[in-house]
Amino acid sequence: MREIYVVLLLLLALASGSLWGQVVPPRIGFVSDTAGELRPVLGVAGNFLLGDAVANSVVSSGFSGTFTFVKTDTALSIIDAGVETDFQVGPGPALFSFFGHAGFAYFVSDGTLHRWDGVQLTTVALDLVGEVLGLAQPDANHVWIAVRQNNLQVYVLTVDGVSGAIETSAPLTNVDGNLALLNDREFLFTNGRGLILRRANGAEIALAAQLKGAVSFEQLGAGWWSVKDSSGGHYVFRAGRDKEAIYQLPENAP
Amino acid sequence: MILRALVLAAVFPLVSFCQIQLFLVNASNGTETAIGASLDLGPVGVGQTLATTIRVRNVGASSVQVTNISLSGEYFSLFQPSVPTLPYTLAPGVLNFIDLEVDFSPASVALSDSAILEVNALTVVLWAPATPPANVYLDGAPLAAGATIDFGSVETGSSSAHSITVDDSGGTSALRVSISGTGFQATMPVAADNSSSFQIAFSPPSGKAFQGALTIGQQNFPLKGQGITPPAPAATIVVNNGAAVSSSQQVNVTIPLGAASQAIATGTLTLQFQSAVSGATDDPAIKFVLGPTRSASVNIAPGDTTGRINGNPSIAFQTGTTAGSILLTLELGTSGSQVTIPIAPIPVNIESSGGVVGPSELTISLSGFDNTHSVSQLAFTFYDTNDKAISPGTITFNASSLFANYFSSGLYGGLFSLNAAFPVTGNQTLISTAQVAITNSAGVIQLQRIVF
Repeated sequence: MREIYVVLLLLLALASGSLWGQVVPPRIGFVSDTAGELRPVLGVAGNFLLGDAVANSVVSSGFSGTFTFVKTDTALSIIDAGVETDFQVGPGPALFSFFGHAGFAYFVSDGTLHRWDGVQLTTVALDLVGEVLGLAQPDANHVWIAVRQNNLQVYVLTVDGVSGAIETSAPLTNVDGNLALLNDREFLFTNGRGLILRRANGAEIALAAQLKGAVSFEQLGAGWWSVKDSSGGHYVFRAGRDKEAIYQLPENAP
Repeated sequence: MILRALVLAAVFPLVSFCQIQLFLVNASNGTETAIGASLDLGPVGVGQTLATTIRVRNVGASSVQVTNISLSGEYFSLFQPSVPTLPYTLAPGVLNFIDLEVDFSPASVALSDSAILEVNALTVVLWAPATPPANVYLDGAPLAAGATIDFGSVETGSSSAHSITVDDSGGTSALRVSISGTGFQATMPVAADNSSSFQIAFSPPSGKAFQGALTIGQQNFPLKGQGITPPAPAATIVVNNGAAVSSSQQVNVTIPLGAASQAIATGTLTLQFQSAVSGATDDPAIKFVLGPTRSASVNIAPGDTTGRINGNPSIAFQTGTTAGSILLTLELGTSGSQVTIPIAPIPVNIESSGGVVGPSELTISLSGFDNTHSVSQLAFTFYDTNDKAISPGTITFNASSLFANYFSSGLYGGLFSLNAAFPVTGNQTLISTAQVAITNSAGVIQLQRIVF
């Protein structure tokens, strides 16, 4: 009797052939391409299509699968559930992190950290020395910050997202250039062996990407990261156990 | 004073005549032999050039003005080093002298050719018999004066050589030898002695006709050769290192050559798709990941063992999400090759799935592709927390028209994302999992349980 109670309307709907279904192209996320346009990435692993640009002059972007940070040289836009909130900001790139509908934005040019709680953007009183390489979040109120300090050692700091207090610091070895800090304490970075994924257990996987020059990372979707090099090469990395793979993102026009 | 000046003028030539002495310089050891009124240079072959160094010295006690140096006589000439600007003050002493190179290049046979060399008032008669010209042999066969030496057709990167023998037994001096013209070289001295052999070679830098000249003494032999661009070695198209290819892959293409190339070649690698799906003429995701979507340049340089595609050793392309055949065509120089890559129809492939139970509805999301574009039946079975199928068990839905309408746009190949919503009432938390099966023309795929 309980089953009938639970799915009564469901059964009625299906029996009448009135299942509500919608078929659309699968969207992986949004990526800022090498021309600075923000474009949707459609497809599945190994088969990508870029949609038409939805923003241009994009300096940095990030999409968690839930909401989007988009930064130009004059504004930071946060788009969540179709609602766009804009803030006037200074020029230069930014780094982002996500947790649910909350996130952090770090502006490289002035070294400021900003917390988005889903409604408001507030500046976090952060006092740290060094080059910030990447952000990630263990929860809505904390942010992990990977920072290269003067001795060239990279540390991952756990920072209170409200007070800005540094709670923990852990060294990260053998990292050159930039890195992507994955939310589950995995790292994507480059060193002399190329593009490396370091898992939480310390195991490293070399990824088959022919990167040239400086490398930058952006999260483009849930479990997806954009990897761009300074020669125009654009790859996408899919995170997740048993799904980890690197692909080239075709930016070419038909 | 006028009388005195006239006396001095009359005496001065006599003084300089007495002070100047000519010497024959031995070219091999530099020794000097005084020259008298005449100098026999010895026989010289027609076409040869005999170079003789005659040294002018001041053997007096005071400087003398050299005001005149001249040479008259057919086939004789003053050669390097150049005669100094006159008048020239020649001081006495062993360190002071003027060297004159007298060249004798007879153009016809004669018992004796002669010339008069004058230095101020000193006169010397030079004479030499002109003997018959040197005999030249090409690969052992006599070569007539002025005959063309034809190297025929030679591939770039290769070389063709001939042997030249010079028989100048009638001559007494070395023959000047030179070669000119792009692509022509000689393994020879700059001069050939009485009997010399050397090689001349033709190495065309490109695939066109070349001309040059070989000069032996006074004899000129035109050179010619045709450069030929060798064909590029046989090229093959290797996809995915020979492994099987299916939908939704990025696979590499390489173009190995049968041998190291000696040629420069350019071409194109093109990608075509023939759909096996009725109503689907193309799949826009089937494309190279770099450069133009379906065309790539291919270049081969000498020494290459693989073709360079868009400047790289390989290129990746996407296989799309539509069944059919991908055709890769290589046009390289005058040759080419082609491979057909079948993309077999397969059951629906779901990459991600999920379910959400809301307050009034239950939503199932599926993302993946159907490379047959023929999704027909969807089957859902819901299970409660005791893993018992909820009555009435499996519920089917004919989704043919829903998917057919979506795929008809042709914009996304076989990609799709389905959101299916089910209105529910009551205690939704009792719904634990869902089993989904999807049917297309290639079969039925049973997904892993979706956990709510």
